[in-house]
Amino acid sequence: MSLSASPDPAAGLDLGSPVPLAAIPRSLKQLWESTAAVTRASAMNFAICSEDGASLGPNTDLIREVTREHACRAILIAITPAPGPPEIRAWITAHCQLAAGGRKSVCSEQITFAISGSGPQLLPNTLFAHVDSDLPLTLWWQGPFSPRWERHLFTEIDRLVIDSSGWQNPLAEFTTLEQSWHEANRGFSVNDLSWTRVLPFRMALAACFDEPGALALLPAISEITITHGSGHALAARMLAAWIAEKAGWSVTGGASSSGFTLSNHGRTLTLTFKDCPGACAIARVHLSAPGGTILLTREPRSPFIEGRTDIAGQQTSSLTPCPCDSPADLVKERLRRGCNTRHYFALLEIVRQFLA
Amino acid sequence: MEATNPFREDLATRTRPEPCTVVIFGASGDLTGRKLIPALYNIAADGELPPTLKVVGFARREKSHESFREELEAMNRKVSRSGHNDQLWASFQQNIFYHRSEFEDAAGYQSLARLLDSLDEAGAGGNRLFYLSVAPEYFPIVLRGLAAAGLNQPKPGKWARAVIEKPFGTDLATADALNQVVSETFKENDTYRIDHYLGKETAQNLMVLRFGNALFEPVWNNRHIDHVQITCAENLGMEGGRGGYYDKAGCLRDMVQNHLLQLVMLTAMEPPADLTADGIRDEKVKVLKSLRPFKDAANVARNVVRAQYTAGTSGGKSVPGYREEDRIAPDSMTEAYAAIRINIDNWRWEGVPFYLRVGKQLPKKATEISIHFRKPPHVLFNRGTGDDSANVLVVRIQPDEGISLRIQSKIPGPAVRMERVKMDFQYSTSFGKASPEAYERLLLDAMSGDATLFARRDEVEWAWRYIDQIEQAWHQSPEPPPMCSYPAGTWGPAEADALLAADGREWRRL
Repeated sequence: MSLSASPDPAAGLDLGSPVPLAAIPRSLKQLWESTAAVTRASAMNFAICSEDGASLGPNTDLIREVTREHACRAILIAITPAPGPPEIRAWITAHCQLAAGGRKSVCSEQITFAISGSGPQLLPNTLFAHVDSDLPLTLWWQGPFSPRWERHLFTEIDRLVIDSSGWQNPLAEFTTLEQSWHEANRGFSVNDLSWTRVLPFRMALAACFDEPGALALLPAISEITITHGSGHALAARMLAAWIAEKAGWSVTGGASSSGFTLSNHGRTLTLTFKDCPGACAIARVHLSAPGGTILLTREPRSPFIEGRTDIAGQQTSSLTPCPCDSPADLVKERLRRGCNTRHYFALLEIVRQFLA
Repeated sequence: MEATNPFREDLATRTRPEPCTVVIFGASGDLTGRKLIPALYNIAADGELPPTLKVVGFARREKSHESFREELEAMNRKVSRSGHNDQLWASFQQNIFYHRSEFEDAAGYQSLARLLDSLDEAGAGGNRLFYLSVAPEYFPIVLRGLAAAGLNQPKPGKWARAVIEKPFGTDLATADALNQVVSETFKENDTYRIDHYLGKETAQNLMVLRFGNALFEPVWNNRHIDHVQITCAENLGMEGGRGGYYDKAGCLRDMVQNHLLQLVMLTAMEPPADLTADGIRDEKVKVLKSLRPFKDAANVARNVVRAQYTAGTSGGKSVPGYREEDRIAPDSMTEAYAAIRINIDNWRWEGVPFYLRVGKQLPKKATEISIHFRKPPHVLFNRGTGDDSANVLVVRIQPDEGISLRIQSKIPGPAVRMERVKMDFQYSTSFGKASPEAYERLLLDAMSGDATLFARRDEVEWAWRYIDQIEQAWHQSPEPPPMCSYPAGTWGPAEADALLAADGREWRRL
């Protein structure tokens, strides 16, 4: 049986200088020695593993953007499944930008691997042979978990980045994730970009409830509607789970045409999700009670969430910055912050009820 | 008890500023447009500003709310760290107001009270932060004006705080008098004496460096440290009309009493029992209490050098001497440069001098602390070569905030020869995001009720007690120490070099 040749994942891409695998350390050294006017900067290892052969181009663009804020050694790995022994090709390059004041170029290095074929521990070996020692390792696992997501890999990383919005079967993926986390003795933190998309709305909502009038309204909330963009149903459910957890509400009824039923300390509350094509990941959150309303909205591409409260005839408005749209923005935001993984898994328990 | 916002629980990485009205006295001054409003705007851009926060500018010039906002907008466009977004500014500026009044006019404070009440009704929340960005002679006038209008008294369940810009007095007596007025109007824990050096990232990082790393604290004492140097160099003179203020103050009052002694305290303090404001400030004050006093003017002359610059070259241009500068008296006896040998009489620092130098028209602008460790015994390497092999840890406060460590390394080759090399950490390259401006952090802290980065009354008074000895020797003793000189654009007078040379040491070349 003959196999058609896989498309070359590096075709047409500027990934830097191709280098033999064994020569990567020496080539990196030569790269830095050849340019005296730059500073090599690195505060962490940031690896991206993808089983999509076409990922190298977008991920190189993403690294160029991320390194503006987070100096790192970037390691991009694209694996193309193929029979036979592994074949690895490698490239090195650097992403440079002027430091503050425009004085000096600050550069982060990128090592790119295109892997085809398979072999035991191929991925962990390739990755760990090239990390900068003593610096923390952040791994972005793109796509659903596969057999390559293995113990030798996840027990050695410090931070895991995932984007659950792209998962076809989130319930199964969350189970795998949780099992891995326990198997790694909770050694890595989980940084879900879906959860990051929710963050500005959490901040905007918290700002609204800083007002005593809004806080007093909380026990009387009877209806919530969350409008989300296509493909971001999971983010909307995470936001709903967070609100319910913080407000002390519990899910009492499954999905119906009118939404989910929750108990707000004995009172019935209706939660509805609306899918709005073309809208932001989270576009609108509307909470209403007999005494007033709280409305958060974000127009497409707006850098702000607009908050409006109308409580007993008194209206206030606020703007909350919302810089997160592109994957690079989300990753930068995620890397700036820590992540409470226990809390994340606790929220997933509620999310599961909205997914069931 | 007031209900807490449950949505804040896992979001807050720091104490959240409470809704309040910030009243800026001296709002038509440079500080308001250049620092304070951009700081508040940037806090808003970071999503940290309470949405109902109001700002009231209080000043003497005739202005409308609109013209005040327009002026602030124009300046914010120029200087804001995070840039200027029209939508955000439109939201931010609608909460900015202007109140015209003379500082001495009691009616002006009454009408201010009415304005603040109306803003409270519009959602400001009832908390008030009074920021005194006025010339020091107006501090007591403004404070008494606030008290007469009852504005120093918080409403039930709310707070009223005063932020006071330097200079906090010109000597111990005036600082004490001012503190009396302050304590009559505001409680000590509602008084925030600002020293913007403490808002700088690297100054805050000093405690993290010392107490968050196991490596440094064990060697942070007289067994391992030979001496400490603190330099605050400026490459400017009296441009922009600053001579009028400076010639009255001098660098000792303008820089050493506050900024440099703060750096001494942070470098020399013992680990605090906790990170509360008073826990830290208690330890800082102990350092000031341990500073060895000067016995007399002759003792000051042996430990302190004062100087003025003469005509020279700076940045490729000829510049005048200090006494030829705009608004400087031709016979001025005000120092534009000072170098001080400080001794700290406690167990940790006995025998470890702290050398401070500060001056105008020096070759470059730089503020840094350098910790000079003792030399290793020269029994193995570089025997008899006299090389300076001591390790030096440098904390750069500005510019190029960061930390470097000078170590010895073998030069590649068959011979065992050593050379100094530098391990360098720079904030700008390790952390891509620009550090917040010092005023952002300090305003956030004042609105959140965290006084850690502000000077406490006893801190200010002990600092003046130390500085007054030098000022008195310079200006009141029958045989005052000489006023030395140095050409503008050089690293200070020869006498400052001699101060260290007498101890077998030399200034670090920046």
